Amino acid sequence: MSGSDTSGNGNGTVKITIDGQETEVPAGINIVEAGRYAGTEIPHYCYHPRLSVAGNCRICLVEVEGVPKLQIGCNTAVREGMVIYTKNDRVSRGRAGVMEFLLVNHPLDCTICDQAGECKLQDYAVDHGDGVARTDFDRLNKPKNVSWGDKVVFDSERCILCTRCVRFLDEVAGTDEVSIDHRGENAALIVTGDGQLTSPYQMNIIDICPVGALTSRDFRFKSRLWFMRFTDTVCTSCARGCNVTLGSRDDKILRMVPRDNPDVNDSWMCDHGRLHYEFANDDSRLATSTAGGKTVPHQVAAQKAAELLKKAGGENTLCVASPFMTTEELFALKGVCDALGVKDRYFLKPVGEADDMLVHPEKCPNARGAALAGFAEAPDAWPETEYGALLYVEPREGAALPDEVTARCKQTVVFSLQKGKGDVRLPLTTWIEKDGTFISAGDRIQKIAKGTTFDPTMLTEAALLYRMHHALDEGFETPVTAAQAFARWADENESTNGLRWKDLGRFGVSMETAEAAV
Amino acid sequence: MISETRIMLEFADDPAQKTLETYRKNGGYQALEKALKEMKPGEVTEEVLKSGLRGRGGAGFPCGRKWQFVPKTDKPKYLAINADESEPGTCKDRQIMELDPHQLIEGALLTCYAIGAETAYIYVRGEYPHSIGALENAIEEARAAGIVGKKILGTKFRCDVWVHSGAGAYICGEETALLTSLEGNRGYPRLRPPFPAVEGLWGCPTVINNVETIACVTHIIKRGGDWFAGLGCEGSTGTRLFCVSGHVQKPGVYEFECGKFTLRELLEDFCGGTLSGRPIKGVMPGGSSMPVLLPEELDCQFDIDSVAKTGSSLGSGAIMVFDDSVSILDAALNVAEFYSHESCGQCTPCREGSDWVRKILKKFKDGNGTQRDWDVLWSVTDNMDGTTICALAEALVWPTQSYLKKYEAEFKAAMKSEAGATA
Repeated sequence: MSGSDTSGNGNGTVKITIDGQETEVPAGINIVEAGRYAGTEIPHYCYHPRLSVAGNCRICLVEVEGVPKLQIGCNTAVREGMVIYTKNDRVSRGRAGVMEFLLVNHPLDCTICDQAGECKLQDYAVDHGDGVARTDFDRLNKPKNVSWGDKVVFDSERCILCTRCVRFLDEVAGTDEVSIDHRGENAALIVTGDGQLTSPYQMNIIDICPVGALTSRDFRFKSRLWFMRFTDTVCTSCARGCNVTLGSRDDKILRMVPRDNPDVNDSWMCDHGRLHYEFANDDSRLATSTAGGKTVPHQVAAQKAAELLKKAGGENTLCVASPFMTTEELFALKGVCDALGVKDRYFLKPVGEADDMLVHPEKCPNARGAALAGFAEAPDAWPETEYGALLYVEPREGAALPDEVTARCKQTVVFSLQKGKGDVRLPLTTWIEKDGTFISAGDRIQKIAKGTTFDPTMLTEAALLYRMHHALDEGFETPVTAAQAFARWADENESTNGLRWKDLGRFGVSMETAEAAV
Repeated sequence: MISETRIMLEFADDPAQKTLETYRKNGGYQALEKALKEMKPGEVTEEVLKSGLRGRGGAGFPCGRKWQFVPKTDKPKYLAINADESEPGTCKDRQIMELDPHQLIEGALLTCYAIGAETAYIYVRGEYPHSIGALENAIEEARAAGIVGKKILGTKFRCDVWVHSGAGAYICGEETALLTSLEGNRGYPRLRPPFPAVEGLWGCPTVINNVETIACVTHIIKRGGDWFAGLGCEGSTGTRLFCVSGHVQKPGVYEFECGKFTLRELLEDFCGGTLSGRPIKGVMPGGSSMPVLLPEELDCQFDIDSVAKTGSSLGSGAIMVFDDSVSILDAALNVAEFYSHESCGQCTPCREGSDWVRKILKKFKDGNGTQRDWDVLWSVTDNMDGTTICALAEALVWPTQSYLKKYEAEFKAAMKSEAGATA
């Protein structure tokens, strides 16, 4: 109750002993968090670091020396000199007891449950359970396959009533639309109103559900987790740059889930961003290059493009970039423009609605990268200039060069996701098919990584642009790896302070931090 | 010979006592007048500390000390009076509210004065419409007479008293669930810390006391802490209301000084023994959530500390007696059915465990219990004990384990031989 016993040594830390190991941890944190410092995982279901403490699942029981009852780690703050046991017999018995209670009425449907493989009930049952059932009565029946709208499906029998979803929708999303009905063993979640969720962030409850009670209508039954490949990347639906883990199988994207980044998106992402990946799975996408209406090898197309542009002359060329390109691709495009002496360089920026949580009005991931590479935002009214050539990287969505501008250009080199016109037409890759960086609205440089291959014969935009550049300037040295390309860019941008690929880590680096770290 | 000492129930037999006029004629609101005009708030608390008054809700926590936990802060402070009298066998607070409600209102005002609160809520069990009506009438009368509201009795002290009806959940008698319910939310007990005295209603310091405790405050201020401390015995000062029910000749709510008699004297001499004349088989001395006492355990002095020494508790003062016609298998199942029905379902061990215990006890009652069930019952109740937010799990575990321990032979006699064993 008093603050004095948690204040520790005055520099914000306290010394505690966990399982015999002395550790210094920040004052005021709870024992579950303190366990992370000591390298000890304290199991938990209801506790979530980004939600209020509910303390109802009781699996995080630990023994605190001098306290008669076992305490829950999530609601017990560390104190100077606290001695904690997380693995002794008493704690193990307590946890096994709670584990058994959790499973008393839990259906044995792991074989058809989407959560299998990332289910905390499975994990902890193995780690902390007794491995046998001591019940001989029928398990409780509750509603299964309940629709909570077009995104979330609820299974009441699997629910362990940890209330993470209730708290998320109340405390984070602000819609407060899931509640508990009935009580005791009959307690069950319900959606208030007409039973359909409304929050544009509702799918986060699927991620934080520690069991298989809440599943994604989009993802469910598509694949077992262990057949999938997971790639840490960022979302591209707006400029926020929410960190995500993308799950794919056989080069198809199956789902995206948020990856915790305290400087960007905490543990959350919007449903729109999460579900916006179908364009990458579209089999009708452009995978071949054409020049003069004929399919040609990509290298040949790049060569033809360079020749075409050189003939038109830089002064007479309009270059329009896409804010869906990586920082390195934009830098490569700048290199081509420089080699040609292109004067008119623009990028198209899609804009739309924003909210006060994560959704940003810029509907593209790298407008900052485009600006840093010297591309100006496209004017509302394009000048009526006649150009000899157009070098155009189409934005994936949300914005396009007006037809009359294209019409004023005699010849065109177009990078596109779709088949179409153009003297030279080259295929675009999507963000999950390459390595690189985006610079978010918060001026944060974040890595993306290759997770799928759309067509193994395709080259990335960077590779195509390097070929064009080389065709224009034989002295151009082509970067081989993403790290080299990034270093090339960073060295040209003083504000990055010699930042390197490896410095970006999993969570990216703020431009401001890089600038300050002299 | 054991006899009643009536303080709270002194005028309970007079139907007019619930009116303000009669209450005042009998000395009502003198304590409030004295406190507001002659005592500082701290002196009221001092007087209550001196009286040795312990909470009457069941836990027996020293009342004055609880008040002292309220921190000095600019936040509003609240008094919440627990009138959600739901523990099976308990019906004492109802007597106060329905027969002499003004002593509760006076006590509430005195307590608010002592702790610096300007609002008191009385959370009344929803199944007590008569209590709610009696309290609301009394509050209206007091408000009209300038006793509740602004400038009470012509002083600067202002205080409002509100009655709030529960909606039928036992758990709302748990003090933090009561607060959550009062705030308009689902009646879930809260984690501690923070304790209600620091962060209670709407995050503000809140004192929660039982109806009988607050009624005692009125008499303590009226007649002095020393006077109250001279009644009863050390550790259980003053008088207490006891609700005797079950197989006795004279069930009822009685007021006694604690420590002046044994449980056997109360049941055999005062209440006339069992109705049937059959021997007593067991007694629940403090509501259905406390361990049972066997006939040979009835000779303990009947006060908080002496009963605690038997391993049971005086609890809420509800004494339930059953004679030897009762099947322990029925009694145990009855308790388990109640608590599993009333578990709020928040904590895993209570939500799942209470129903599991009920199912096993049903097997025993149906003659299908086995040695394995017996072992599981012990271990499940052990796993529920002390692993939840509130004490509802213990309210099932304690009586159940006491039945298992004290009537083991009866359970074993009702067991079926293990499946697979030859008949």
